[in-house]
Amino acid sequence: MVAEQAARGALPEEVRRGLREAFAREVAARLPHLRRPDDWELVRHDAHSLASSAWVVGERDISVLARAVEEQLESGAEPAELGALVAALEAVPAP
Amino acid sequence: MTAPVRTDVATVVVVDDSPVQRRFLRAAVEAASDLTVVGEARNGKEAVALVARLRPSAVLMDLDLPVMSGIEAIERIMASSPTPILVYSAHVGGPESANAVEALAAGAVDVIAKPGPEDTTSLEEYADQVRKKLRVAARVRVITHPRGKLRSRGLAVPTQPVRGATQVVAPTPPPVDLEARPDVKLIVIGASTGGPQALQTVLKSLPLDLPQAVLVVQHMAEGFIPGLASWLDQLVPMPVVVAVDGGRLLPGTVTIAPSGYNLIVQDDRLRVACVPPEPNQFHVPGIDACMTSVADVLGPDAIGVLLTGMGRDGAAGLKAMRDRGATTLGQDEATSTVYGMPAAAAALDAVDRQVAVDDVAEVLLGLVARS
Repeated sequence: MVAEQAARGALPEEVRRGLREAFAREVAARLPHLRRPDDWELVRHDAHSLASSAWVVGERDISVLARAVEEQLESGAEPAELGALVAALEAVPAP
Repeated sequence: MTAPVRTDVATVVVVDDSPVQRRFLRAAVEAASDLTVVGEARNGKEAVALVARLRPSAVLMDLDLPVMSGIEAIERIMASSPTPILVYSAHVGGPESANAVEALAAGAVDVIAKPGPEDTTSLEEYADQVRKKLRVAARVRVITHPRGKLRSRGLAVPTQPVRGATQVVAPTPPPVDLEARPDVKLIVIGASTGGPQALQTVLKSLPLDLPQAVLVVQHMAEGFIPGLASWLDQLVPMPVVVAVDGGRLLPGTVTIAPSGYNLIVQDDRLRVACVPPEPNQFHVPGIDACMTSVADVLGPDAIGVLLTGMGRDGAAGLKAMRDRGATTLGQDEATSTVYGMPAAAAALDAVDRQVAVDDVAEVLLGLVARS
């Protein structure tokens, strides 16, 4: 019961710090594909993952941009927000 | 010394290619003392191998995975190491909505919407939802899934559209223990866990020119009902639509109750209304609410069918229908993914006949056939 009450509260700071570190590593791993896109399916998948990962760490702007890129590619449109997404990801502190 | 194995802890394998998601889900799951993560997989192929090796109580899986897709991984797991799979999916209104329904049809037991930029859910609320869904999923007894078996043997999976195909349906005599009901106006079907696959099995054998309207109430997470309708529409002879408030149910058409409301049949012209659920109602749309309304307005001129599902929603509604003279069917235990709702109905003496899912359509056609 105590554990469950804790679970309903805020995530511990050490968990949040770990999530931010993992996000920085994920950004570093995906940025090269996004800077030089030669496989649009890979870009769509990266954007899909980043939209959710960014939401988890509270990076709402990145989450919005990533979701926009994903949806643009799914609809067959040019990913107009890709440049803005790359710029926002480059602003994330390196791991 | 080896620590004693706790049998009251549900073991979970998390499948996601994002390290952020895996770390978050591990933290969310392990915040509860009755759940623990025993393994993490980064793609579908790893997931299949890990589940076979660890045999967890449940799997928590994204669908958009590299190397092997989530759908294929679900099919393989359900064919070789049947395990309750809870899918989390990012898009409830987009293409992934149909994928989520496809995942349920492939054998996943439930789906939860993954929050995104448009969500107001907090991280902690989402973690709580995941834990609740996992606890339920971990209790589900799953069986080897036929679609996975077909694929593993290299055989074609029957998913081709059949709309417009000429269907010759020979008159089928009604089951000997049931009275023919050719004047029935409506067949109402309730389903929950395992429902999408069961619905496909039943509806694919009902013809385009069926004189009755078919109404389906399927428990499903908010936002996924349009995906269910779209998926079924491609696979079954009759058109499949989502009900609208004030609309009418039409013969030869499958209408699915929408998310977020109870669907009530208002009169014998089959007009429907979407009404707010009761406070604290667990399953929305509710099967009990719908079937009770059908009992009230149609009495014996309806047939009720309760398919696979956890819990007891639909049992009281089916009983109300039977008490008003309707014929009622319940899916049998052997073919139910979860023999919960049909068992509850049988215990209430709400079921005229228990039927294997493969035989439900034939029984229905026998009941409504004109001699």
